[in-house]
Amino acid sequence: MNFSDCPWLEWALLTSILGFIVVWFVRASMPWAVAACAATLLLTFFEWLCHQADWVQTPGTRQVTWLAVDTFSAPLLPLVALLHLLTALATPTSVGTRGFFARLMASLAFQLATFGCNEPWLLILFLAVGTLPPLMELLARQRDLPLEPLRWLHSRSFAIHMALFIFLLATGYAVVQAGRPIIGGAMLLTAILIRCGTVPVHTWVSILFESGRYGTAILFIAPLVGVYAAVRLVLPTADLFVLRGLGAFSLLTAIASAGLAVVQRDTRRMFAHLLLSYSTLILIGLEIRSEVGLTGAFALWVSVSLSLTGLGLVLQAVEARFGRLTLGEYRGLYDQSPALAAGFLLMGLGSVGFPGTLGFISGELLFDGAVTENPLIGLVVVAAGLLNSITVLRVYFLLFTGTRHRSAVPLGITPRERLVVAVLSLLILGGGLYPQPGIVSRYRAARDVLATRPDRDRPTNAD
Amino acid sequence: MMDPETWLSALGIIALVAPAVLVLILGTLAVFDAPPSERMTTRIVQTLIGTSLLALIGATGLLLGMDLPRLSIKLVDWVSLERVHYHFAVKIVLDHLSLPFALLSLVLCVTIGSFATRYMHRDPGFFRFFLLYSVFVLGMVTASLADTIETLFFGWELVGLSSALLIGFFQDRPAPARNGLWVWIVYRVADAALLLAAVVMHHMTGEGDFDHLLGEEAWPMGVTNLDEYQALFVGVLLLIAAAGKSALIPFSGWLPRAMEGPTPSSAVFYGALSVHLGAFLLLRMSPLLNASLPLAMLTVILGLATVALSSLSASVQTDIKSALAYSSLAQVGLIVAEIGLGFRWLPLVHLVGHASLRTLQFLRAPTLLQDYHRLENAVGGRLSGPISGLIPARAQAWLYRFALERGSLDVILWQKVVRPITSAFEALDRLDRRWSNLSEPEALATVANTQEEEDRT
Repeated sequence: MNFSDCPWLEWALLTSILGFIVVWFVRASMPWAVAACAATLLLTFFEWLCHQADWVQTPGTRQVTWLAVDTFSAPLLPLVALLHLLTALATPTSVGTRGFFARLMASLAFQLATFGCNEPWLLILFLAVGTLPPLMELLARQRDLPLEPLRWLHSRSFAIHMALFIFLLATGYAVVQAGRPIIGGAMLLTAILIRCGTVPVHTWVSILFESGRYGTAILFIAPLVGVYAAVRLVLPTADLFVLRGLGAFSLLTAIASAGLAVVQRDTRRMFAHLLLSYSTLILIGLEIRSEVGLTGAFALWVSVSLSLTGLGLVLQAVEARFGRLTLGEYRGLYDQSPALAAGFLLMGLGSVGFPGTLGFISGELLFDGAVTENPLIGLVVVAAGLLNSITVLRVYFLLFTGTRHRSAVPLGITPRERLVVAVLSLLILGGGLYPQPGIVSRYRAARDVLATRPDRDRPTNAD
Repeated sequence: MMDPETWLSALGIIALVAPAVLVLILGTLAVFDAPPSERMTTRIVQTLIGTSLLALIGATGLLLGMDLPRLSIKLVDWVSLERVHYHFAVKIVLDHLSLPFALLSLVLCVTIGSFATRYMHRDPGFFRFFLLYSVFVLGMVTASLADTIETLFFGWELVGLSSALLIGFFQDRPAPARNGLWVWIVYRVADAALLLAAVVMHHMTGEGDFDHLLGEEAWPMGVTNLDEYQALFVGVLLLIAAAGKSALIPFSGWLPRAMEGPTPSSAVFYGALSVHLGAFLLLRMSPLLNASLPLAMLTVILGLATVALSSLSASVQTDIKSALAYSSLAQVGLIVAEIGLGFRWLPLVHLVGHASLRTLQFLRAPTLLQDYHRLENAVGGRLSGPISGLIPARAQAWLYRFALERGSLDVILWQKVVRPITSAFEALDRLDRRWSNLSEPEALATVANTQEEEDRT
């Protein structure tokens, strides 16, 4: 059996499931979760190599028929595994219970299955079960809430949104298959808008961040599973009006969330809006449908996932030391933890596509594609980027400067947190300074994805 | 044996790579929380910036000796997608504009670096200062030598970030942080305009190279390939970018705020280099000004208006750093007006001379005050402004108030631009929060109380 014949993805899935079982039964769950995530990362990295590296022959036949990996999904598999590994590493001991790590492993298995699945109905099933880990956490935390009808409804808002998402996704896909593309397309569009947290169906995101753990919320949103569903289920079949609708809501969300992030007084809500603003920017790439724009969107996907996960984990680390943080006053935490301040700044700048970071070229490509399609889209993309960069520096100044925080105990960065910040810094800066391989990979993916469109005769940027 | 042109390329690359290596070394040490001693930091900084300066001096000598008008050097094809004709190259150019400006930047940075090693001695933020300083130097050298709009944007952004963080350098007071954020917002608006210009140019010409856009002739003889309307559109965007970076009207208010940073950074950044970057951009893009008369006129008007406002403001400032900042701005306005009037060498010489003089004045600011006192003692009275006697008393009072309030530009920007935007988003946020906090009435009450307290404050 040569390298490319090995069923790396199947082994990765198996490893994550085994990891879930072990973590469920073992008391000291953190090291096991980290080990399982690391092994899964390695296996998915090999799977990616089979599709990426020139020295590897064509990938062999899959052992499991419903699993398939292509140019688009191949790098997303190690990305998902890496995000889970880093989250497991950076989770503070006070937060990392056995239940948390079990849910983390389950989330990894569901997301790998989602990103590696080629059967639409199975994909819908995995998207549905993927909502369980955060739901379990929220339900566990909301047991003692008052039971007035409206409050009960609101406290279950995450569950209601997700139920609606699954229902609309499944029904919409069935209706499209039955030859009713307009009605089905509208249902699919609504489902995607809900899962991506676009305005006005975005409240579940802030509720998830406020009521759940940082790690759970990040892992549910940062891999952009909703955008993946849009690429696999909507893009190949959707009418133009569906894509236009997707683009319009995404534009609205990108600018509204960016503006809301600027005026936030609570760190978690600020982060939720920042994440929404960027994840919906990627959806705009789907509406543009040019090779350049879609390449930018796919490249931005990787950049946003990495940098915003990093930013969230740094905020989690700061919260673990100083408690829940409001943004109404200066905190002056720099002297207590300069490495966390540097990490925050780097991740924040990476997320806004600062020159030299991973997001710079991808942002430029997306912007270039947007300007070609419609200058107004380009303006909104720039305005959202402008507001997000103001948010990042505003929060940096508020949290780390402005006064002097005194503490009797050392509050510096821990070795595990330093490792997470160093790995993410390396990826964000390395990918930013040498972007060609990443961009070419995303360009191929964009071409392949566009080739699945019914309107593939639409003029692209090529000639 | 290498031919002279290869030598020239090698020297140009060394001039750019040396500050990049400096940022890499200091940045890595910062990430691993391992700041070196003051002596070691100084040594690393002086060695690498000195190397860059020497390489640039060598390149200048060689370029003049070879009588070459310009040399474009392609460092790396950062991104190239052949099928869709998308290229993003890192290119530098050695010509009669880039070399003087890069040399000026490095000479002043070396001088200030040397001054700062003593000025910042035993300051807890010594290493942080030099880390940000190195980012600034890299940004300035990159922007000066850039041969593509994207490369220029790269340097431009580095200068903006390091400037904002240096303004907020003294971290135990809220005012530097507040002012740093204000400057960052203005810079980001300028950056957005430059990014728009970059992408529009990229779109119009297919590539971001200056020779595609501004003609292949050496500066200042280039002729743009854009038509008049395209030149006007791109030129207005560039003018906004230059206005933000050089504190021209209506963005002048950030300059005195920038003086919150340590004296060495105020001297080199806002007195000498940062503030001239906008003028440099206009000089680089001067073929666009040649192509569009309305654009040139707009530039002259902007420059002269800045001269008028900043001269008035400078004459009523009560602290030496602010007075110098506004005097500096008056000269920058004049340089911009000269560029708009079609001069090319005059504004370049003006820029180099002014930056050098202003650096000296900033560094000698406390002594300068003493000099003034000595002069006034010798004269036996106050030194008055040259035009005060020519203005009627009533107008004097109005002008004084106008100058003291710096034309109320910051207030106008805040009330007419920033506040409506933030108010709209705050209203949206209240709506959003009302629903989000429905199941947590206590949290809602806390947020409402905090907001009320802040409003009262």
